Amino acid sequence: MYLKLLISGLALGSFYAIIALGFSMIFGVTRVFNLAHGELLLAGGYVAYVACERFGLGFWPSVPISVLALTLLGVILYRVFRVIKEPLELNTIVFTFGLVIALQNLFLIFFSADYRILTTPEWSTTIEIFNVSFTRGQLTMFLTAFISVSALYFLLRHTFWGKALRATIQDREAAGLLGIDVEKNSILAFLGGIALVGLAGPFFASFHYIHPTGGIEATLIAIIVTIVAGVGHVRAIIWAGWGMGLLENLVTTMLGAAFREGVTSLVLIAILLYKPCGLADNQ
Amino acid sequence: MALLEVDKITTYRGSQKVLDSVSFSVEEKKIVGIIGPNGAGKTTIFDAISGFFKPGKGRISFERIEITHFPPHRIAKMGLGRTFQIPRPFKEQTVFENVLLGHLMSRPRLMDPDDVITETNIILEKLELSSKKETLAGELTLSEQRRLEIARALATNPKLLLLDEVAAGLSPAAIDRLVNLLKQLNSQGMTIVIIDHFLNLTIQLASNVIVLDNGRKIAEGRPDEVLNMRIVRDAYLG
Amino acid sequence: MKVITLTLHLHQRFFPKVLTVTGFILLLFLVPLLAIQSSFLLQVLSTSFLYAALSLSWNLLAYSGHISLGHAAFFGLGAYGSALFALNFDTDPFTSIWAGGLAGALLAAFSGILFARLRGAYFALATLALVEIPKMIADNWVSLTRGSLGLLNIPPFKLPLINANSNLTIYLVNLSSLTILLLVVALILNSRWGWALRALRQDEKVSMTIGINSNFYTLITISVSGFGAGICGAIFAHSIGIIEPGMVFSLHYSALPMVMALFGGRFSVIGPVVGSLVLTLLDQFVFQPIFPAGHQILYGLAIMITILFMPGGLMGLLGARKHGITGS
Repeated sequence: MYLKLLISGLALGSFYAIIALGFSMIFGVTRVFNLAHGELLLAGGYVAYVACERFGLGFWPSVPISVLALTLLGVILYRVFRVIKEPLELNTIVFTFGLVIALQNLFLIFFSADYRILTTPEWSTTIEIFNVSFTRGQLTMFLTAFISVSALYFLLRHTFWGKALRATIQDREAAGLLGIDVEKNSILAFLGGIALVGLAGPFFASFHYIHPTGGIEATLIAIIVTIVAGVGHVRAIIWAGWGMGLLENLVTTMLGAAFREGVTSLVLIAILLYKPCGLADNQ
Repeated sequence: MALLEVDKITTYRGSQKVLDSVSFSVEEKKIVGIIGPNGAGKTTIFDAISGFFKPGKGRISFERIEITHFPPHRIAKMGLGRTFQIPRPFKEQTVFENVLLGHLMSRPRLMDPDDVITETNIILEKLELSSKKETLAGELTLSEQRRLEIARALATNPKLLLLDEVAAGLSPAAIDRLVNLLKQLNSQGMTIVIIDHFLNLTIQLASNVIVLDNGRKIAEGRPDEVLNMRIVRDAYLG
Repeated sequence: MKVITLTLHLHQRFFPKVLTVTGFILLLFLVPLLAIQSSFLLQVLSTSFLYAALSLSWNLLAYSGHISLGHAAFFGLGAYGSALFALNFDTDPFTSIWAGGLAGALLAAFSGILFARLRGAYFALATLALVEIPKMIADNWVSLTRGSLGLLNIPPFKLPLINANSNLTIYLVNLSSLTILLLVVALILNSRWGWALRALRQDEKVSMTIGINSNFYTLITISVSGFGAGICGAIFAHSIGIIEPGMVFSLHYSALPMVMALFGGRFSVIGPVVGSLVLTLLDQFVFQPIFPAGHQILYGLAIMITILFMPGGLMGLLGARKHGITGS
């Protein structure tokens, strides 16, 4: 029983880690506080839903389609975010709040308020490893998160581009003086972050029912994980993501699903009170 | 009688000492200069006196009342006015409104509107800002912004004025005018503490100079005495 | 009062502005006489007045520099507070709405104390999360609130000579509340309190050095703002007759006041009212017929356009001074 909770919690947590990584990369290079993160995730989910249910493609073909669609959206968003003036964090939070409303209503127009799910029957079959049974879906989620996060970790730690990117996150001006092409790095990281959301979208749609107003909780979780871990700390994001996944699972089992959003909000408030500077990196 | 007494204050940033047991006192109706190289802790002293943080150790008293743990607004209302190193006027407000704000916020009860306006005008006159009354503070030149800072602080009716680098970046002519102004204020009974990295004002005005280096007070005395001390020269040059 | 006299000294155009606004409000009171047949217009206008009052409450807090994304918490608690008070103590709605306002004010004061160290985006984020807490309580304290079933049969407003809960009653109640709230906000913003908020918004540290008690002013401002939002929620509850947690503690009521205040112009007293009138009419007469399902996309677009192209909102475009004292 508890082992099962642990496993499904870790699978959920891995999913959280991916979306938090996306949030962290976007915030890290552009300082855009993207409240519409969950809605972008939903957008990815809806794209995959259309690809699967209307065009009869399977789950896996829908993933690159979702990634591509969101990356294209990302190009537009990046241009728009560039125009926003100081105070950047506050203005982007207000702007993206507008984006939340706009996207929610766009989903309503195209998909109505119905709950939808990507049906992937093969994922509910269970596999036993060491006497513990996983569903295929959990295993896939876990592996996908593990692979994408390891890839990103390797990219940031061990390639020249990754080092340049980390420098850009830490100090834009200094990075520029060192001859790093800050603008190119920013847009790449931004699109990378959005692409991660595009990757997570189809998974979201197959684990959860998706509906137009279902994005905000994912946003809050991405923010919680990012604040706890600190911007750009890839390994810490995995730990924090798992922690959040376990907590959510525990709350759902112990108190019931009705308390989940409330607890998420309480956690966010508690973390903000503990770290009033939030994402700003001054101790 | 000492108007302000700073008694062995020590402050930390993280585990690092920013001020290390600094003591000094300011006699009523005097002008005192605080000088020292960059990073010596000069502005930190002002922040501690005006209540923005509590020093880790030590006491600060104003008019013999301990103010170490008082919040900034309370200290301001007791009669301690200050300016900032980089001028921080209320940019969306006019010059007149900036000074008016200083007046409105520092008094326990409101005065008659006519008196408020007259008094504000007098302060503007004193700081040669009358012609800019209706200009937005954000549109002023540096020299005007520095004068506006002083005007706003004066409007709070202070007994002690803490001026942080009010002469930095000003032309020699503007500095001369400022010196005259401060002399005049002082002759009317105002006590003033000046942070003066470039020594533009202290030599001409201060009766007493405190030299800080690396968070410690390394010397104190009359300006001409202090400036000839070996230790002070070393601090500035090295 | 003295500061208002001061305002008069400083701004000769103060009286004409006040006269225009007063005239416009009187005109609105006359609308029912002319358009009594078009009950849809009355409904739409009533809604816009409620939103205007909510936006005014929101904007009072925004004047201090605190952007709230959680006014639905105060709105919803006001709705529940008033409805429960009226249902349990069998009182008239005109009495119970004060209980609603008080409930909103108490939660607002509590969050003001709790979030005292948070600024900017982090304050906004905390208020966004705040909404979930009263919602969770309303959803799960079934013995009191009936949980997600919601409260039914909330008593309607009754005015002498007018049919209970007719469109006209709601119209008059909403317009009167808006008028009172507008007067209160105008008085606050033209008093020493309003000056303190203006200073705090621009530079908190400097404000403290001229004697402004930042914590005190922020606390009383958020409390009054929460009170206003609570009253709005209460009025909403009695006009609709039914409330449930997801309906009043929704993103919708957090977003609306912000959208309308920013779009209308947050630096002007009257801006939020203008924003609410324009956006509600646009929504109901243009967007609703085109996109019945997602007509509120308008609000999302409005706020994005405001941030990108007109930081001073509509009133800013009309040339209202961003920092104006009267601003009306």
